Amino acid sequence: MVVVEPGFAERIKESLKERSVRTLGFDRGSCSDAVDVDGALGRAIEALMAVAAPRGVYANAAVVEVEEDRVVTAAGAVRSAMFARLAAASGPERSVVFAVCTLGEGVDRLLAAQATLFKRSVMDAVASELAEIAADLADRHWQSEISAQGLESSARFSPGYCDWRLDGQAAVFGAVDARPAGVRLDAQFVMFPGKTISGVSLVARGVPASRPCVFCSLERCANRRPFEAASERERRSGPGTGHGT
Amino acid sequence: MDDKLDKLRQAVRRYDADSAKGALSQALESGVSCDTLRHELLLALEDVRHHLMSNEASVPEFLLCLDVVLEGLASLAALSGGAAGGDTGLVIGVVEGDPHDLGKNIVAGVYRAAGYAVTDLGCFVTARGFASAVAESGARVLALSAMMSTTMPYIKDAVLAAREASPGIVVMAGGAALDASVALSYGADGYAESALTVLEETEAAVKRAREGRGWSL
Repeated sequence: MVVVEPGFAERIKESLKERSVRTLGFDRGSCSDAVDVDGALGRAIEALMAVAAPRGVYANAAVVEVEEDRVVTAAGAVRSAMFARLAAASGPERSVVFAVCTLGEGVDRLLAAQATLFKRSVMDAVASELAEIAADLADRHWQSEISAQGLESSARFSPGYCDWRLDGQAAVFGAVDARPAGVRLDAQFVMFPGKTISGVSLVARGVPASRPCVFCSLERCANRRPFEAASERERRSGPGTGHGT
Repeated sequence: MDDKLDKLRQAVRRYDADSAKGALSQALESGVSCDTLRHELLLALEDVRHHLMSNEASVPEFLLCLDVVLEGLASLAALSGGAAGGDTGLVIGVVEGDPHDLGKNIVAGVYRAAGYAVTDLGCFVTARGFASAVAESGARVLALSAMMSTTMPYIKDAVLAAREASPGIVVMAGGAALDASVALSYGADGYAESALTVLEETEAAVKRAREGRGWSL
C-alpha cells in the first residue's frame, strides 16, 4: 500500500485553486466583492487537508492476450476496445497496473456536512482535484519501478468512462485488494469512500500515447483528453511524495 | 410594502441569508403575502441567472443567490406554517450506477425556487424506482440526470419505465454526458444543458406536451 504524505497538496495550493476554479466554471464572468471565491477555496483546501488520508494500492499483471474488445491479463480482463487498441499498438513486455487510491472517509463526512450548495460545490470540486492529485502521486510509486526497467506507461484509464462500462470496477477490485486502503465496492460498482479513484494503466516497452483518445474520432466527447506520448508525460512529471508500506 | 421588499432585495443581492430571513419575517408581519415574497425571491434568482448568462455575473454568485433563495423559501414556509412547495409535481434523480449528485442538487434547487414541488430521489435510481415515484407522486415532470457516458443509456430505460407508469409524464434529461440529440434519441421530451436553462427548457417541454407537439431539433 502507498501512503501519500499528509501535506501532499501544500506545495501546489495555488495550482489546486486554479484547477478547482476551472472545474467549477468560476473563471467566467465578473464576480462582485460580496463573493470571496479565493477565500472559499482556501478554506476548503485547509479543511480537506486536515481530514484527507490518501492511501493507494496497486497490482501489476502481465498481459496474456489482446483481443479486439478487451485486454486479458493474468489478473483479469479490461473490457474496452479502445484500451485494447492502445495495447495492440504498444511494444512488448506488456502488463497492466490496476490501481485504487482514496482520500478516505473523513473527506466524505466533510462533504456531507456542507450546508449550502455553494459550499458543497466548492468543497466537492477541490476534493475531486485533490483525489486526482493523490492518485497521480500514488501512481508515481509504481511508475518509478517500471521506469527503472526502461518501460513506459499510459495515463490512468477508469471504469465508467470511454467504452469501459462501470462494471469494469469488478476487474480492478478483483486484481487488487483495496481493503488495506479502506476502500470497498458495492453491488452497483460504486466505490466507498466517495473520493476514490480506480483505474488501469498500460505498461510496455514503448507506449505510443498516454490515452486511447488518439484512436477515437468522437471529437465532442466530454472526456476527451490530450494524448501526448507517454515519454513526454513522464518527462513532465516531478518526484513523487508517496512511500510504500 | 415597497421598503419591506427593498430590504429583502438588498439582502438577497448581498447573499446575506440571515438578513433575508429577517426581511421576510418583517414583510410577513406587515401583511405582505407569501406569494408576493416567493415571487420576489424568484425574481432575485432570475436576475442573477440572466446576468450570468450574459457573463455579467459569476457562477459563485448564482449558487450563493440560490442558497439564499432556498433558505428564504424554507424560512417562509416555517413562518407561514405552510409547505414551501408549489403546484407542479416534479421527480428528480440520478440514474443507476451514477454517484454524481451535485449538478442534480443544484437543478433541484432551481426547480424548488421556481415553485415546483420537488421529490428528490437522490442517486443510483433504477428505472423501476423512477416509475414508482412518478406513479405515487402524480408528478407532471420527471428530471433525469446522468454524468457518465456509461450510465447515460439508463436514461432510456428510465424514460420507458416512467411512461409506462405515467403516460402523460414530461421527461427532461440532463447531465455532463448528454446533449440534446442524445436526450431526444432516448425518448426524453426535453433537454437542459445546465441549471441556468432548465426552467425555460422544462416550460417549453410542458407546453409542447400540452399542445400535443413532439420534440425535434
